[in-house]
Amino acid sequence: MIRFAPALTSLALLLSLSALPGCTGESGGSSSSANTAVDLSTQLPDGLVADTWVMQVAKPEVLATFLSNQGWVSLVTKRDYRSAAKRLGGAGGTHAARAHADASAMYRQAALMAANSLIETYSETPQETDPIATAHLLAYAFAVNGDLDKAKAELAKMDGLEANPTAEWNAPLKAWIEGGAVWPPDLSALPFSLPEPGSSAGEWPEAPSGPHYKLPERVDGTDSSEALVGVDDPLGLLALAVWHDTVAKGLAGDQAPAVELYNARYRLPVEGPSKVRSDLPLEFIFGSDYLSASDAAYLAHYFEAPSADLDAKYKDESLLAHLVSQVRVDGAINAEKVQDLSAALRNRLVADQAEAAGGTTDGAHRTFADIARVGVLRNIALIAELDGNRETSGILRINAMELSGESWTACPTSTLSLAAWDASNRYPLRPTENLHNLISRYPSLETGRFSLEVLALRVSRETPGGIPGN
Amino acid sequence: MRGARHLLAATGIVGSLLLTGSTVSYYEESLPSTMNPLFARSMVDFRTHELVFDRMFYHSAVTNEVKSRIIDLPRAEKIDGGKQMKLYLKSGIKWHDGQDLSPKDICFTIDAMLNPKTPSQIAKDYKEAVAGCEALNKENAVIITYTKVYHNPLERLGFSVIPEHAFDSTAVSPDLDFSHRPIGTGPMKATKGPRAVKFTAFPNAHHNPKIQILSQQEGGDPFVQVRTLLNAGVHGVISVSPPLRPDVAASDDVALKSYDLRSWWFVAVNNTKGPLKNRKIRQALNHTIDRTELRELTIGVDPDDPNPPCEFISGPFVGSSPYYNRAVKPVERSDRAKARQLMVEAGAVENVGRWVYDSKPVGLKIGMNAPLDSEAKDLLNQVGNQLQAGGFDRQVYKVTADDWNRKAVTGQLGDYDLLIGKWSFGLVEDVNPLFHTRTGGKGALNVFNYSSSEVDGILNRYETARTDTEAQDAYHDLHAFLAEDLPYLFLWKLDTKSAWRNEIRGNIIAPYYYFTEFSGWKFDG
Repeated sequence: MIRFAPALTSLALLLSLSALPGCTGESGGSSSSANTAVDLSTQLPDGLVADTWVMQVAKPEVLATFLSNQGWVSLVTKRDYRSAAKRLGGAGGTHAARAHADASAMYRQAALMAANSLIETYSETPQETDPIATAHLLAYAFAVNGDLDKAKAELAKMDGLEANPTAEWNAPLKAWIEGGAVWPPDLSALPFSLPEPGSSAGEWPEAPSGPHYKLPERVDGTDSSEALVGVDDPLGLLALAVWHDTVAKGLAGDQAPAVELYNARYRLPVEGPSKVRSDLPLEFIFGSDYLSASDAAYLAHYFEAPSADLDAKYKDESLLAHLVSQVRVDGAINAEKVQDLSAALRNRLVADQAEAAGGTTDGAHRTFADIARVGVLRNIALIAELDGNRETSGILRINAMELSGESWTACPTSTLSLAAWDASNRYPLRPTENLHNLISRYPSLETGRFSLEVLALRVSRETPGGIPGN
Repeated sequence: MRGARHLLAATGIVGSLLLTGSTVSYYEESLPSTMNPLFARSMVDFRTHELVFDRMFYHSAVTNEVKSRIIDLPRAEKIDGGKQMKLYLKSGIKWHDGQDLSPKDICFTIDAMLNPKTPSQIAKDYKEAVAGCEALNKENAVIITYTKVYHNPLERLGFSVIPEHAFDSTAVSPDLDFSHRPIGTGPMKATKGPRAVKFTAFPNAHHNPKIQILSQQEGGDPFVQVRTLLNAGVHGVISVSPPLRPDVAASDDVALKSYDLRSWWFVAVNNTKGPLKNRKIRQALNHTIDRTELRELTIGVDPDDPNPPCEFISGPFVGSSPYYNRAVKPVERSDRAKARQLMVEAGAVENVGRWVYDSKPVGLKIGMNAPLDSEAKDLLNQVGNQLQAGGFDRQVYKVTADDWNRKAVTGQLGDYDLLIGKWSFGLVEDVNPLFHTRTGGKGALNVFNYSSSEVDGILNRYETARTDTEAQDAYHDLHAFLAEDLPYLFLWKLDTKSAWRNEIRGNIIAPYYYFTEFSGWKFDG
């Protein structure tokens, strides 16, 4: 057994218990054959593996710095951002900033999911019965996606409306878009208030539940007085994303750029790519999808200028970049190689942690290695997407989702990232279920349900062949 | 325990024998009820047919793009302002009997679906969209005529193609030999036996299956299925019971796979006979059932599960559906006082703990679709026990999958009082066939021939809805009405997880149809 110092016992116990099914034997949950994994493990450079957060916290004294606050247990083993924010809030600094940064990423992806759903519904497949004021929703959706021309065109459709049920929501959106959609938007005029970010460490505000207003459908060329669409306005999600981001940066102080870099991969298109290039401190990679301190810079750089050349530039410092360099075939990422290498990394990390602990595998080892493995899949999926390889990206995203059945791998942000991707593919079946499951933990995400539902309704009603099977 | 150990040893031995050679085997919920895709009824049918036949168009299981393996998509042309589509077939595609796939086959399939003498539920949606088909044999093309202009005409053609030369007429009957000996153009040629379906790879111009032989076997005890899988006795299990999923997840050699399907479980109530005609007695049953206990006893509950597989429902939709009416709360626990009150109001009398109605004890003949036992072990007995404890006499029977498909869903098991089953849906959640009065082709899946003018009216509102909101409102109203009228006692949604051994690579699972991407599956045994 790993020898935990007394202060470590609670996390060790939690981790051990939460990994109960795999408590005996060498490892669990692999999707690749053991032989394949063992062979590939030799391709993993010792130095880069040793630099991963997994191996850093294999040293009890390092892990102890995180265990002084139960918030880390909530964050890493439960992916419970709300509890983590509340518990880490008192600690302040970068520890608390991490929890709020994760929350911000989650709401960003929810906002993107809503935007993509609205575009696919009201822009890609409009119907003459759609309410005129869906232009407000499309203005939001195009703005979030960084398409300001289309956002302004939609706003123009709102001019001269005799009655505008969206008015209170539309005004701050309009001001933001007409001001060039500079990030972050000032959404303080929305018809609900959030706490002042400067003194809000650990707080967890919620957006008001909807419907926020009702839009009349068009029947025979006029607004119907009976057919009304109750709308949950997605600006609430955007406001929460901005609020948590502001709180996180305030808490991080002079390390605020680390907050930006940490979330570089989950920025909204309207924000543009992050220019921050530095190593992340351990507080921002512990229990995350990143493996080593340089991974975020590599990924951020890739978002700014996608190129396989970056693999070589970063592969000596970033394990992620090294892995990507290993899984390309004729320049393109090969999904099967990614799956094999991520499984090999997992096994290697289990083995190395056991070795560091005196030769015995512990539940915590498997938990951390599981997180690392699924993080590799998620991040390389993003790189495949940036390469224009949508099919491979999808395979890896789905593979990551299938390996995210445990509380420590079930990351809400990546779940919503997949939901946003699915929505852009006009595929609402998976995201409606995933969002539904998340809403019980994060009530404000209920706001995102409206956008997905209108997409689900539209797609299902235009799809034949829906025979119930028993 | 001793028996279980012997069973484990046996499955291990069988496993080591089975997995020699290049055969890939898997457990299905049951065997298919038919091999003719026009008459698919069960999810087993839909999955099986996906191996044997090609659909004209399908959605990528990854990116959701519309694709076709038999139509040359880039050459597709809109004609007559979109009222027609000219589609060119890819060349060199063979049927499993060696004959060429031709434009005539496409048009035959459409003509068969349009023929009123073909009693196909599948054809219903296509009949609404497609008006006809013209074969252009010299061009190896067809012209499809639609009933109106659609913005997504190709997606209106998602049916499986069947061969003209295998039929004498476009009036296709489910009883024909084809239903047992199918001829398709899919990646696998099928031979259905009494206890298994054997699939053999059929390399073709448009398919290059990498698994040579695939064997579908009927799954039995869920524990045995999973142990056999873990012991390498089979390569896959289509549906892994929730309590056994942690065992699978903990294995190095097996992976759990998601299968996007909206499935919900129910107890259909025969309101056409005896005491169950009385709505209050149906409501009393609803309050006698303790869903929370049933779930604990048959499926299990993990309070830490971030994505719980089972969620109670109050109507005919899963909780995540846009049609689910969240204002109607599910009945999670039994309420004996409420049940008693309803029984008394209905005119029943309690006599030594047993309910008597019209001078006779209230006895219930309860059946369950047998394969469900592999997902929710012992559910039939547990439901029976709860009802008996609530004062209802009961007899319980398992209904074979074959009887379920042939009789239960066609309304021919009226001697039962309650039938436990599940329905599965993909993206489309059209429940009209389940609840509409069985008349004029409607209500084709109405288990106990339930008939309600109010419900028929609501279903008609859904069918004729001009907007998405109208359709949603109609189904919300349906949900609320059914939760009171109770032709079904709604139980829960239960997600489906498959498990496949890691030697099976590239095994992308398509929503609903499952094996759509089977040509990409590989066996690294």
